[in-house]
Amino acid sequence: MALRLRLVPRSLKKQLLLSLLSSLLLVWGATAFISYKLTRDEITELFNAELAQSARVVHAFVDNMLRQRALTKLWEHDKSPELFDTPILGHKYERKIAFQLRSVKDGLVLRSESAPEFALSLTRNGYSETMLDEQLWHVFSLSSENGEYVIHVGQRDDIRRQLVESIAGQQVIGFLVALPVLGVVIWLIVSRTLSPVNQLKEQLASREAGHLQPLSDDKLPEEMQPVVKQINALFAMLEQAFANERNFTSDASHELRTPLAGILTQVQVAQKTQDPQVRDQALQKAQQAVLRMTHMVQQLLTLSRVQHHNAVIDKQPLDVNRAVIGVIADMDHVAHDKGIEIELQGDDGIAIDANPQLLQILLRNLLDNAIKYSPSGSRVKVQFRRLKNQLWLSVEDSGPGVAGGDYQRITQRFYRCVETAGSVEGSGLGLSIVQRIVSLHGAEVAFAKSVLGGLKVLLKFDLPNPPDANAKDGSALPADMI
Amino acid sequence: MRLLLVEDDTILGDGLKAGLAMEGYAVDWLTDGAQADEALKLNKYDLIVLDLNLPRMDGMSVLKAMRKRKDSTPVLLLTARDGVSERVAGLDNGADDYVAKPFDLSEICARLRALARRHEGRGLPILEHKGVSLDPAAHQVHYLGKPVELSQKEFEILNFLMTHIGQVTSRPRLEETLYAWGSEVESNAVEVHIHHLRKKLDANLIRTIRGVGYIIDEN
Repeated sequence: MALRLRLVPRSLKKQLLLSLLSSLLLVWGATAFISYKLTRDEITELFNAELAQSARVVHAFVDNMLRQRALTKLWEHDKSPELFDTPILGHKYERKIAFQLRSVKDGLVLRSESAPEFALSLTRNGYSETMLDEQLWHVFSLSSENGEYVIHVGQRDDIRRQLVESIAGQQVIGFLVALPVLGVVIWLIVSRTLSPVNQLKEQLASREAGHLQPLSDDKLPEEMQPVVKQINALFAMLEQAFANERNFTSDASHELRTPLAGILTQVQVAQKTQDPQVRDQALQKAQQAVLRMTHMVQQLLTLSRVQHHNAVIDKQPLDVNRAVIGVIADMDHVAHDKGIEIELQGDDGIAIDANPQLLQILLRNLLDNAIKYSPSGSRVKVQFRRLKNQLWLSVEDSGPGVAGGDYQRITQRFYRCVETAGSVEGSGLGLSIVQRIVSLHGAEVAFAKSVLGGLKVLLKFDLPNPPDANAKDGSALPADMI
Repeated sequence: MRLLLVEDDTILGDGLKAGLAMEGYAVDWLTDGAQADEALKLNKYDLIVLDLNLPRMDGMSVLKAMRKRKDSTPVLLLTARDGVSERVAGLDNGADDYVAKPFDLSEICARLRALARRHEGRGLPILEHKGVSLDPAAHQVHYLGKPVELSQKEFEILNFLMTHIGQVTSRPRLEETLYAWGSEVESNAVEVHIHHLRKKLDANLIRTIRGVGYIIDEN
């Protein structure tokens, strides 16, 4: 269902805080608990040690007194605790220890005020626990060497427990106080560390669609540099694509303005003139200009279409012979009108992987150019051969060719050769279209001077399968193909 | 007036040549920049219509070269670009005006008239001298308030002399303003036109200086 519990938040900050704080709480809690336990045990040990210590002190004291016979008086005197229970307390925990001196003969000889009258323990030596008046006592007993008396030093369990709890508890309180402080510190650190991400986010959010300047990557942490670099690379690519688009539109509008001006001027001449011959001629020129513009618009559309084609095009196996013959048949009437003979030489049975529509546009443009630039009554030559694992297809014309071998520029859109610009009606787009289609097919295009005197365009397509042994290979290639 | 048109587009060039010829200009039309540069070195033109995008030598270079030679013939640029920068560059390099393609033929003509006027140092569109008034835009001439019918060539000669008052103009110079390359010039055509002008206007308006040429005196 739509309702889904998200345990891990998307936000990096929340994730970090959640995981840091929860693990902190866990570790902190465990540490506090263990520390509390250990402290309690240690304090218990300490108290036990203190009991033993006290017992030995009392023993030494009692022993000394017995030797001086001083104790007998006391012994007689009152069996009272005054000796040990001085009214002035040295420490708040001081009174918590009770003390009994018991003689084997006389029973209780001396006791501290806090000590009960009953024997604190039945043990004569060492640690023991005794229940007296529903009170649990921790006792350390020490008997004299001759066994005449026993000293019990004891501590009431509830008192001890209270002390232990309070001491150990204080430690836990420290932990508890530190926890929120640490939490706040962690939160601050996380926020601070992630602030470049936030900045980047804001920098991106405040951008408009056309704003593709690179993001600044100074002051950015190392980990984010690659991300910003990638974003900037993407921006650069987009910028380039936008610039291409802009240039294309601007070039196109520029190229269309001149023929438009031509049409307008011719029409106005026709309107103004009194001479019917001038009028007819002007109207004829205007019509010619409209036809030329129509062709140009068509070429522009084709170029824009092939330029926007994805890098991946639908290809299918095509018979080269059939494709070439199809296009020649289409163009034949144009050639016939100019008295141009189209000569075709090609092998049967060569198939390439190509997009049929694009291949047709490609061949049509090449042939159209060849016919256009060849003088009336001359020849155009189309050849194709298999050469190793490639198809070599060439179109040659008897035109003026390209002066100075400046083949670099002829594929630039709207470029037109000086030699032919005045005499041949072209859009300057044909070879741009050819080049784009060639690159969409991963093929190559090369230009050279033809034996016919004009331009030779050579296309090289990779063939889908290596030719079998029976097929013709490069040795059959005529010298003028290369 | 003799006008050099430099435009590589055949249809536009043809149309402009025809349109400007109808306005009475003697138009020489060239389609590339290098040729235009040569022509400008050899001939004297009254006006130049120059496209910027030309083969071999672009319009801007032609313009710069002629201004460098101290040739101050008025130049009207034809631009196909939208951007301001090209126009600014054109004007800064010495062009007198520009029109963006596509344009109206009548606008080109009006701008050319304005350029000629400014070049001659006149602000007023109508030329007036000794009772003769000539309106270059309307192609009309009045003498003493009455309209006078002039042929195209007669009009052009009168126009030229009235814009060069006090200066002697040679016959070949007048022929240059009347005929573009390739047009046939009859040997005594200018004399015939002058003769007609004297008949239609004041006989003493145009004075012949034997062996030199023609002049309209200042007073």
